[in-house]
Amino acid sequence: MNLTVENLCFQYENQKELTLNKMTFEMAFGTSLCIAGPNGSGKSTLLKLISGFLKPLSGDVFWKNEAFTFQKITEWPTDVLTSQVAFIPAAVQTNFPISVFDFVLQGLFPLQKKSLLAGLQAYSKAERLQTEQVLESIGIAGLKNRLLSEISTGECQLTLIARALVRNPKVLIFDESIANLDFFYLSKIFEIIHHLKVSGISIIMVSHDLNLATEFCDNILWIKNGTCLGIGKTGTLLTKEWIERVYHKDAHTSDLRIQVSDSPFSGRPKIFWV
Amino acid sequence: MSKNLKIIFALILISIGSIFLSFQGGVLEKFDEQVFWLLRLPRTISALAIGGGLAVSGAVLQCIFQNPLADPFTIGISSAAVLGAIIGSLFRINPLLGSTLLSFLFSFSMLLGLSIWMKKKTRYITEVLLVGIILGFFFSAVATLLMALTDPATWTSALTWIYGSLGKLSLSQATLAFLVLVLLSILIWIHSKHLDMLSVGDLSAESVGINPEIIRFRMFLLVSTMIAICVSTSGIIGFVGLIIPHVLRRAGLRSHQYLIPGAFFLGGAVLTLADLFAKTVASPSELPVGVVLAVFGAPFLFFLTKRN
Repeated sequence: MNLTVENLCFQYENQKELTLNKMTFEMAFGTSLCIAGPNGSGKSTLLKLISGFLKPLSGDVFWKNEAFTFQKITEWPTDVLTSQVAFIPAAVQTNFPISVFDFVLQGLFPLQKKSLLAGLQAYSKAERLQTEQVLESIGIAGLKNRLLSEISTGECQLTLIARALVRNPKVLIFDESIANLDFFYLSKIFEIIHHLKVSGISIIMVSHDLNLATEFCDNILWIKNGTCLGIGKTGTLLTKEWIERVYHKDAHTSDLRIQVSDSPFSGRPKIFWV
Repeated sequence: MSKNLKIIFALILISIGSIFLSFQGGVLEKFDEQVFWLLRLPRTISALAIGGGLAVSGAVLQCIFQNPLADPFTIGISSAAVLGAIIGSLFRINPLLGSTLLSFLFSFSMLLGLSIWMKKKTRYITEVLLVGIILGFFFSAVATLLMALTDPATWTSALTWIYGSLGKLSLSQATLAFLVLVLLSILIWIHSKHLDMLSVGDLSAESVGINPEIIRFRMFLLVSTMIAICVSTSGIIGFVGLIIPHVLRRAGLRSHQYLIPGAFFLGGAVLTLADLFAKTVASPSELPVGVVLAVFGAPFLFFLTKRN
């Protein structure tokens, strides 16, 4: 799906300054975008706005889909939007017992028919099978009967990814959702994301680990103080100069002790400490 | 038949059993038609309705506040409702309706106030509990004071509000309360999936297209109506709403689709049995049923707080 963000402004109730200030950018069909910037620059807020969880102060978010006449995010029915644009939170916490399987099954809710009794509708055999398959493909089928409160942070993140993948969305939004995965699961997720990209799924990702994010994403958006500083191919925009510009705090700070060079394996830019 | 359905079936049997026990008054004596229609039947219906209503409210409060220690009593809603009920009963026009209405207003605003306070920053589960219990004490004290000042002769009846007692209702009043509480429970029940999603956090709920604010607001309305009915008819009966959902979750009823009806049946049965105990243990005098429940409930709460 095509994403267009126009002059987006947002302010939290208890804050004096705008979290997002005239954010404008565009993202084409089936591409992948890494959103990067300093802490508190509005990355997660931007993700919540384009997922429709927050209402903007001003400006618009457009999701364009060939099959759909809806464009402006407010014109999308919530179910249709969430069934196509899947947001993956960084973590989940609960004080109540729920099994991994039941939690992933919830991911199918946006696809279910909505009626007065939607809250009592059972999940069909096909839906259960679909959930089994997703758990299998991520490699966590062994966890399905465990309680969400018992598994590790990394396993929780995999469960959250499964909960989004289960409804075959058109867009996947990762909010620091791969921060705690070990090498085995990262390779697995890498493979899955690669397949999704090939089949035309758009990926949007916020991550502090840029070396990892550039393996997943072809484009990068630099965000600072709630505005877009630049958007483009990682090859051209992920440079030392850009990083210094984005993460620069004040005139007195010394240079960042980093260098950027292409990976000898994937050819993608990597940051090295020097 | 799935395991969950079997549990529900067993719970229905338990509540039917408790009804028969309650009809007999716990002891085998000659069937007295008048006693049955005037005392036993309305009292049993009240116990089933109020026990069920409180247990369902507890389950919902625990879910929407993400707090396994929440129940109408522990977070102070019941006491707010009692204060409202007592103020309402001072209006001589229609005491029962007046007290239910004011009781609703008080519990609803208390719930809203709590949720606004909790939104400001992350609160610890025990912090919420502490505030609830402090406010609960305060409201109960104000309610007692109010009764003592307005009519010194009635102040002892404030105790029946504060310790909770069934048996104030006539057959028609009890039946009406029962029907309304069942209806409200059904309205909550049809939100089962939404509640399941809310119990794993707002962000997880939003990511599957549920607006937590809307669901929470609906639940506030339904739950405060339920608490208002329970409290204005029988005073503060604590711990039913805390214990029942816990026991049921332990037994394996995780989804609200089973938890809500299960809570209604078990809550009703437990309150019916507790009331029977309260009536018979020190017979011919009668204990407030709230006292009986507190004797079992308070250690249970202590155990849960320690574990959390």
